[in-house]
Amino acid sequence: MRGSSMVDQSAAATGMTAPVIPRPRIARLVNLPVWIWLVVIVLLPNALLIGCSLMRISNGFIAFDPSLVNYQRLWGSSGFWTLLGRTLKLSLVASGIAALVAYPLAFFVGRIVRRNKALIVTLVLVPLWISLLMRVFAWRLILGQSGLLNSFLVSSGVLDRPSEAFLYTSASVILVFTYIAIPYIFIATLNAFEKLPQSLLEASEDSGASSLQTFLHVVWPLTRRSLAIGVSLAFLITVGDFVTPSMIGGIDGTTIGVLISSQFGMANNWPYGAAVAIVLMLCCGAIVGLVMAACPQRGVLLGDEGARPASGAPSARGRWLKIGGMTGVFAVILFLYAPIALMAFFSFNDSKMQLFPLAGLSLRWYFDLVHNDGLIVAAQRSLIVAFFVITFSTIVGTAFALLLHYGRVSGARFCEFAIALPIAMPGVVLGIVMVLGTEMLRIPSGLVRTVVGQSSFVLPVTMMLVLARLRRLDPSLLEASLDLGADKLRSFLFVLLPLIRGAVASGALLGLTLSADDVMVTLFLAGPSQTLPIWVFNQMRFGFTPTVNAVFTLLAVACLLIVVAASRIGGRLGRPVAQNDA
Amino acid sequence: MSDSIAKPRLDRRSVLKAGAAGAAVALAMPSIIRPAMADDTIVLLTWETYHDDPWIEEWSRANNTKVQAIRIGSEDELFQQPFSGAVHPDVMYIETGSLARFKAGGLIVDFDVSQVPNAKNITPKLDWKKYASIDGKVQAVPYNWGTQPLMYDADVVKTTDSWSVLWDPAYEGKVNMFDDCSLTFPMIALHVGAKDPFNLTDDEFKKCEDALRSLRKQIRVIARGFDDASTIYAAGDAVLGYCQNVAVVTSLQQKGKNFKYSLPKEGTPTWIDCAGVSAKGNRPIVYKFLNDNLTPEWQSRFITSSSNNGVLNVADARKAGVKEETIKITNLLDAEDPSFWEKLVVFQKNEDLDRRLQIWNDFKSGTL
Amino acid sequence: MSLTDQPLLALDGIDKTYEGGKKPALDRVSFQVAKGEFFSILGPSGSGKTTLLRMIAGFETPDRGRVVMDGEPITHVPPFKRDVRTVFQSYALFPHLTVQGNVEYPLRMARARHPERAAKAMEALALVDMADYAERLPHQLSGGQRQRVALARAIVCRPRVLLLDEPLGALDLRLRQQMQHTLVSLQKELGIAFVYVTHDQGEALSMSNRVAVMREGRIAQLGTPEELYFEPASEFVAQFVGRSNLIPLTFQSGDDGPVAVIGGSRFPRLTSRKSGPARLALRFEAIRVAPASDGEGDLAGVVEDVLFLGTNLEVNVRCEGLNLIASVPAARTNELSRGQPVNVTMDLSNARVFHG
Repeated sequence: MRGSSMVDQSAAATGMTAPVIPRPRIARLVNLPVWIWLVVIVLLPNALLIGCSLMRISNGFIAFDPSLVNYQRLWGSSGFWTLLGRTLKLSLVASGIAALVAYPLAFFVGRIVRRNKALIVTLVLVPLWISLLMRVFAWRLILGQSGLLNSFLVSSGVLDRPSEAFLYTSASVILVFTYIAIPYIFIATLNAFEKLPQSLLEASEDSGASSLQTFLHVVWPLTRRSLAIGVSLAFLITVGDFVTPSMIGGIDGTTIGVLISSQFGMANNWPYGAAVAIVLMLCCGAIVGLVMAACPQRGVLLGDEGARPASGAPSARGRWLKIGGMTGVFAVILFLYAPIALMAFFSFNDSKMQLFPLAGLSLRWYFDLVHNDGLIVAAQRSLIVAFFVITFSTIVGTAFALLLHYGRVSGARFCEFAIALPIAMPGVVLGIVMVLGTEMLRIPSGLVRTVVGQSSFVLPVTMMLVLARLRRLDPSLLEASLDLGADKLRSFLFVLLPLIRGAVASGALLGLTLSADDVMVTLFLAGPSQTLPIWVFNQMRFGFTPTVNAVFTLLAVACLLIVVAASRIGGRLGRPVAQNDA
Repeated sequence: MSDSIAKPRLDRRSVLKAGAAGAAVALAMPSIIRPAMADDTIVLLTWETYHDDPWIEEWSRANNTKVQAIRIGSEDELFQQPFSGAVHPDVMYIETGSLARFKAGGLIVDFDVSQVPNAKNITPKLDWKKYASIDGKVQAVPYNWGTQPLMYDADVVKTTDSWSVLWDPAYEGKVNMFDDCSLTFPMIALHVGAKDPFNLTDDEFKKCEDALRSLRKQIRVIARGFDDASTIYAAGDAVLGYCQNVAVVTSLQQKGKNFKYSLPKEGTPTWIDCAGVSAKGNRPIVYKFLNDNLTPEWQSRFITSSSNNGVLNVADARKAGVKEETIKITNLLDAEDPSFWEKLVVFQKNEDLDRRLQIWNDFKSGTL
Repeated sequence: MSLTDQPLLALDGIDKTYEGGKKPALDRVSFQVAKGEFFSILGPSGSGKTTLLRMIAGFETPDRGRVVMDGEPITHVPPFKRDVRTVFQSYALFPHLTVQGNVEYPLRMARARHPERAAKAMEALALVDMADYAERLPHQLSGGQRQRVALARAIVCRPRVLLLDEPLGALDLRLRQQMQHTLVSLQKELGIAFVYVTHDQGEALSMSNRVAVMREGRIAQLGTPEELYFEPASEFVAQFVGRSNLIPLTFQSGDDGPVAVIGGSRFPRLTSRKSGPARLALRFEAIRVAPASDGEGDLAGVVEDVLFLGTNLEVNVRCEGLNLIASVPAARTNELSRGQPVNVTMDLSNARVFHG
């Protein structure tokens, strides 16, 4: 046998001398920020919450006397179970309906629409930037006794007299929750449709599959995870919101958030409130888990990821599909903008009351705007908070996503899940929990505390979006870059960043809407520094001035102008989207 | 070359980004260049409309002491904010029924009335020391008071001398309430004829539960604040109800709606909001602020702006410049009549808030 | 092939077990690559050859052992500081950069100036015949074109070692043959050492100076293509490299020591020091087949089927319960057909016997 001199196995046979090399210390250190965040922002406050739920209240004080008495009380309370069931049902049904609307819409916009696609996408997103409270309020004006819908139905002779069936019912809550959920689900699924390689669809058709079969066996398995994420997000956002259902659903819109809020509030029975909150979180976790399990993700799309427009000459069926799709798009946009249009309408109404008939045309609310110091200060503060939250969450969230994806963090899945936990917490509870945490860390109330508190739920959103994008990347791209002589930083700047910037940008945009619209968490953390949504929230309760209408009308108009202008500019430059983001 | 990174491009995203950044910087400037805070700060946990910014700014300048007002809108927030440590107020505006709980929680300390000589301006009709004292020691000084009467659309509702009209099947789905158990429960107790609405027997609790159970189908919506209530009444979604604040009736009248209120024969719940100080707030400058809050000038400005009652008697209010039209829509004139006070029931510490809250929450969730 | 004293690249006792993996992915692997050598790593999938490549590139660190380049240990040097480039199996072209952008990338990372960058990139593209496609984006190219861009990108900086991870796997036969020629001539022209990973023995044998055959994380044999072909060290290598019949036989004690018995026939020409069952590895082309009528052979059999492979025929002969495949020149095609009785003669000069 020759060649054994080349195969230097003698060294191996005589016992290797090379020592077992421990993993470089730096590899473990880079995980440190993730763990610090996890412990300080997630685990510690939640441990406090869990600990609190095991305490007992005695004479208005929390007594250290660990027991399950609060859970026993829950178990025996029919009111609790009814509220829990109602809360989960309202959000689930609404998320489900919204999915039925948003999923086909995303398919149509993502795969069939070619021109004005960016315009449509941004149009669906802009309503998220208008205060949720304002839009909910406007829905009351549409659905109420003397609202738009009733006026229309009565004047057109469909109804004899105004119906009470539209407002203050469970159905109206579901309608408004659906309204809230659609943009979130749309955005989450759109990307999946855009990234679906045309070749896969063609391969499926080529294999003799009908459109339906192609959908069932190719499109659905490749997009269902995104849909599940969108539905979960919508579910969590609506399940923690108890102001909307109580405003729209009347007394039947009482949800479990009210119970939690009153236990942390007037009842001052934190242990019981904590127990309710924990059960709610467990239920939310279970539901999200089920949704995710029902929509598993398999495989990674490699290489040919370019979004190619559907090929082939427009067939008769294709044309009808397109007409139907466009009609759907318009219907959804109409639905999304109805309350905003109404709000704009009332901003020109010469009356303090938001009621029909209108009192007359006036610009006085716009003039008032300039002198409304409280409003201007609140708006400034909102922007400052949003700026810091977005900057912080985008940078740190992206860094965390990179660490979790490439850093071989042990228990990466657990980290991801745990960091996302604050999203699943009802606003009131998160607010309280963040107060407990920031109190312990001696972070003063105000700007810093608000930024930390909002980041606790904005950062996971950014992180998860970036992480999802990273998982879809061909893993050898980063290796190729390192191999070609780029260090990690430059590989990130020149290869990863251009590839994930879409996800980073949408994370920032989504984070902005979450931050700019948050009432519950900010209420606890802001102290005297009100942000705009809190200012609006208080206005709603004590002396509403239509100036608020004027503010958000201006905001909506500004957003729309920018959107249209940008799409014009984009159109003139005529750069196909497909080439820009692979 | 055609390298997409090297070449800057004006696309939709960069336009948005630049715009947002520019706006943020422009708006942030004033707060960055704002002068440093004054050394001594008084933190108020106060209600909406109680301390408008211009008033406290004026006082801050005159006394070289910064005042921060954290405004709340519900009893829940009144508890949540200080008990969680979200704010550390010097002064809290607490309704008399809750004073004992703040005391027990260690959030307020005994009040030194001698440092507030202007307490003499409080109308003698308001027997406040009786309600604001615990174990014979004064805990807080009043800032404002008001009634929570029966309000109704006079075009629709005719009999208004009793709370039982809320249970009248003719008004099914047209009754409004507000979501505050500690303030609504006494009304229910008065309606069922409880001997002491703040110390219910088991039997009386049973009656209250029955009353709430039958009240539920009368109610379609619970208001979330004054303004919310006005909107609901104005839209016709309610024609009568338990009134959280007389200001709701006033604002409806201003809109040309024929709304009125009445004091039912069973008694009308009445609140007195009192300023209590925390251990941290137990210092002369805070007392000075509270004392200045009770000057006729400050009070008349407050009464005029909020159309609340304040604490002045009608003569002092007139002297301080409150206009007749304002006086007309407050209780200032009524308060001069001794028989008026007989119809009122001032909130006091109740026997078991947890039990009341459980019943109230069950009432709302429909599982009572 | 010139092997200097100092090898360019040396792997020294590399062990690697992946987290959660039961069996080691690499088990005491050592070898050296000389300057300018075309070195292939051949093995079935899962034999550890890609792990080995990633170890050289710097994407994996060994549990034990060292990677040495030019006498310098580089075991813990990050990939971007190694003078090693990789052509990835998936090509890993950056989808957001043009062809030229991709090829310029390593130059940009080396902070080359712009005009120089463009010139070098175009030069590299010209080498692989892709200069006309500089402005395209990767998704606008065919598989073979992408392959060549990936190659251009890897060689544009003239690394000392180029790693190729089954680069021809996704190409069709014609393109593959064309690329084989391109690779060999490029390697000669540039003088870069190539470490070429493949599971295709044909590719490995035709292009390489030396080949390491991997099996289950170990090197089964390392040698020149000729050595592997004619002197396989094990049944595994014999079967994997070239095409061999593996014929079961027994050595029975005879007068001159143990003598081979195949089927029922004795083969006095084939002896061993050990008696007992064994296997004989015999190349297809070491078997001659002649019609039974042409006279005596070692064994008699019947033709089961004939495959026409252009220059050669592969004849499957059934004899004494064995199937033997013989590769015979195509000229005699008319003489052999299915069902025909034939005599088989074995050329035992290059045969290998494996006991046990």
